[in-house]
Amino acid sequence: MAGTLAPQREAAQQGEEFAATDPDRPWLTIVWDDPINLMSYVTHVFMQVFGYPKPTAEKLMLDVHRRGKAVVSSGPRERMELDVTTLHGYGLWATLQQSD
Amino acid sequence: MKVGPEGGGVRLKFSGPESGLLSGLLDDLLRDLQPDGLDSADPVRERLFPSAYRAETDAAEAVAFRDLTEMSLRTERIERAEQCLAEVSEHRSAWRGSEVQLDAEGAERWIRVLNDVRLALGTRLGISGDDDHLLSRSDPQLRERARYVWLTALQDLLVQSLMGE
Repeated sequence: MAGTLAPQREAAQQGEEFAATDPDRPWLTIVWDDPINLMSYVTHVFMQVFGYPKPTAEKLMLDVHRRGKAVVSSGPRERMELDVTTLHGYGLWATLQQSD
Repeated sequence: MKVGPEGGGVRLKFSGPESGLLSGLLDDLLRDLQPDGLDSADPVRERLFPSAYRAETDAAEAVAFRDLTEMSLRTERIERAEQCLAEVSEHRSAWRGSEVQLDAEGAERWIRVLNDVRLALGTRLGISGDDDHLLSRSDPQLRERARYVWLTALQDLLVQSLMGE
């Protein structure tokens, strides 16, 4: 993720293992770090899309930035598909997967 | 370039060359966003319309999901970019530039479109690390990189102004 005119990036962790599908386990929306999206913008998007207060949105943004990814929402698969699509509309790199 | 709060919204001011540059970049984006604008394997297309599923085991899901969502995402992006292009082109003059007065909703639309332009340009430039904002005279892509840095500053100012900072 890029800071103001000082983009910084930490490598996204690769090779996540997928567990077998179990209808009882919730689905997760994950946002991955990327070198283009600005830190201020990502915070703003989390506030807009999820209605998170600024401290929560900032903490999530920093998690994405420092750890390479963060779970930003969880719930039924259809809801997570909607969240992922919304985040793609904002240009964030989001994916969904079932929780372990 | 100036970004300042005005009457509950934001006012953008561009010089003549800046507004010309911005119109050109929005034109480029609109071309990229057409259904036949980019090859399906083009990294810019991959970045604007990423896969919703990550693991290879979900390849079939990813394709099905993309078929379902890409067209509407594409349409939304085109509408937003066209609106911004119309705003920057309105009352534009070569030496006085242009001014765009935005309410909160308009400012939100602008930061999203600027992000799309940065995603396309940044992907083509191969932006990947900490020092990618540094400009060097010997860089064969100096012009594009300078544009990217300018867009980054504009988007960041607009986001900060929306957040009331």
